[in-house]
Amino acid sequence: MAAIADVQAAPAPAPAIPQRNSRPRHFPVWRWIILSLAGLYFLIPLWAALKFAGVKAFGQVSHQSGFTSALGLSVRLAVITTVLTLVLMVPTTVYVHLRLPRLRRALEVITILPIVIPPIVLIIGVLQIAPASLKATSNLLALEYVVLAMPFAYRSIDTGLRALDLKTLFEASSSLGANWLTTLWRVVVPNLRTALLSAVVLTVALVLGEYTMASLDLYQTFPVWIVLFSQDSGPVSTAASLLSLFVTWVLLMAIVTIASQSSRRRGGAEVALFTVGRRETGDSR
Amino acid sequence: MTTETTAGDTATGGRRTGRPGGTKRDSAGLSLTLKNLHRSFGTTRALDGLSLDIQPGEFVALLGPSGCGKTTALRIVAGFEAADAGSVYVDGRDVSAIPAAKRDMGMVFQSYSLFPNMSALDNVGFGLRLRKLRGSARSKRALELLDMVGLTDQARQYPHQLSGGQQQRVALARALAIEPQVLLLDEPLSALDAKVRLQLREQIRALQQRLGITTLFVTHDQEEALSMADRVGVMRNGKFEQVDVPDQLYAHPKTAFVAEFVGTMNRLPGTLTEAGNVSVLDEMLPVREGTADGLAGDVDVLVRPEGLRIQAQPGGNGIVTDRAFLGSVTRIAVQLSGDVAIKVDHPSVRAGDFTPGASVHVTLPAGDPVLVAARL
Repeated sequence: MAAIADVQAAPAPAPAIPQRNSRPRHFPVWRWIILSLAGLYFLIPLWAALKFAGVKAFGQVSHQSGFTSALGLSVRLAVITTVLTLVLMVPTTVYVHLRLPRLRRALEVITILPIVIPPIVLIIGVLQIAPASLKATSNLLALEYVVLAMPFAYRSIDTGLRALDLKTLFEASSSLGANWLTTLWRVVVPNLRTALLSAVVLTVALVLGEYTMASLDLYQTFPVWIVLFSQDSGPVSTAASLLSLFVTWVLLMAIVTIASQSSRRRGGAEVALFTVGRRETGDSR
Repeated sequence: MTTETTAGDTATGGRRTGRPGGTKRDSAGLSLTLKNLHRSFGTTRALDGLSLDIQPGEFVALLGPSGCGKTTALRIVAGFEAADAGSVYVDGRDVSAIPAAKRDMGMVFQSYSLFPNMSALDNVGFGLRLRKLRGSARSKRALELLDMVGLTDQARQYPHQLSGGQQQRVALARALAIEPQVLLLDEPLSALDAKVRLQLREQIRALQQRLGITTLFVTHDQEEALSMADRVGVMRNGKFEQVDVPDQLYAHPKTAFVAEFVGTMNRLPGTLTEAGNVSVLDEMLPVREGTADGLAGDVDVLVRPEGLRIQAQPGGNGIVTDRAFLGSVTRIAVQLSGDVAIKVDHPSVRAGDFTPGASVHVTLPAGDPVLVAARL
């Protein structure tokens, strides 16, 4: 037995590695050049801003007057906008996919309009027709942000839905006794988790960075506060901008990482913000 | 020319008894009746007065080419489509106006339909959860169902971790978990490879027999339909051509379409006589009643490969062009004079002489009346 065990335990000779595989992966020089140029294009302004602000300014940001209320308003708007966007867009997009697939192209065109039409045009139109009671609250701003977030939210949800056999899932669920809402909540939404997370992060990033509408509506959101405060202290204002940018970036990276892990566990593919892939499930075995 | 079993009436048929492959236990199934169903999509008529009576616990297959309306019929029974006219009855009760979610019909789909976010156990338990079956009782029941389809070990796995065959077995368990009134199978085997298809075919049939559940099965694969179902309804243009037990469909097709759709069929040129006989291959044979209605003169006589006799004969009426070994029989392709290509089955042990190029003589033995169709 010992002899057998020894033989079994003996390390197998290492297989010869083909010469071709041992070569470093070929990566042309011109690719490095383009990558470096693009990196410099984005990093130089950040580096300049960081240098201008100085490290001390980051510690002072949260102590400035108006910071808490501005950030609080922006966060509140982000929450309201996100909830409204999802509540409106998820059932609408699912319904169009399921029952009105011919309207998908029309919906794509409609949802791209907020990108095509400048925000300043939208806000002037809204201010003309909005009732006074709505104008008196920041909720009007949230409603405007829902429109602004529509292109991003729609595309995220649409991409997620394309990865599902929605018709079969609904019919299977229905045959088991589920109504439309139950299927939406228990079957579709859990399978859209990554797409929804993507829509949420994009919406939050948009709300936290939007300036034009808030400024014209005379609300001091975080971006408006940054601009106003820059007149008092440029370095602190710049530090706040960099913090905002960093937090948004961390959020985006977190969603891609978490969603990819979650997706892989359930058979999906890598996740990017606008592409939610799903492997073909099951072979014919 | 075609004789419709069900024109205007409900197609019923005697249950096949003593079928090998399973002994039926106490029937838990309910009767299912499709009555004069009509459905059009634009100008396309998918169902044209389809009627069918399925007895409690019976397994009926709808067989037909693509576009014949079989899936539409199944979807109307499931409640996913509404008929333009006609009704669906379960146990004598009209369910036409009841939404799919309240029909209590288990369905297995052609495409993999498991919920990707749920494990096999949760998929099977989904319908039970909607029926308010709580925690441990639900898991216990779902595990019983998974055990029934032989997938207890895969209970915690997600659909992407299961093979196609396993996914369809989970889908079957999920459909059966709700103890449906009727089980609907929409080509559940078509995405699987041949070996798995055969295994699952036997498993579905055995389970259906064991549970005695009334089952409607849609397929375009005649082998599946004939091997699994108590009765098979062959459809064409939204109607039944014939609803019958498999051996009757094969041996006594009532229309040329059924004859050619089920199994292999030869067309031999013949001539109808005024006496109601047909002259074919130098023989005068009686014509099966009803099949020559509206026909006269030149016709095609429909004969299966095993219905012909062949012998080696110099200067015979045909030349062997090819041969295929099928086990106990060899299928011999023969070119008859008059540019007619036919296939003849002959016992393999005596088929050595029939090599390509050999001169043979093919005959049609006198016996049962033959089926005739309009000359193509």
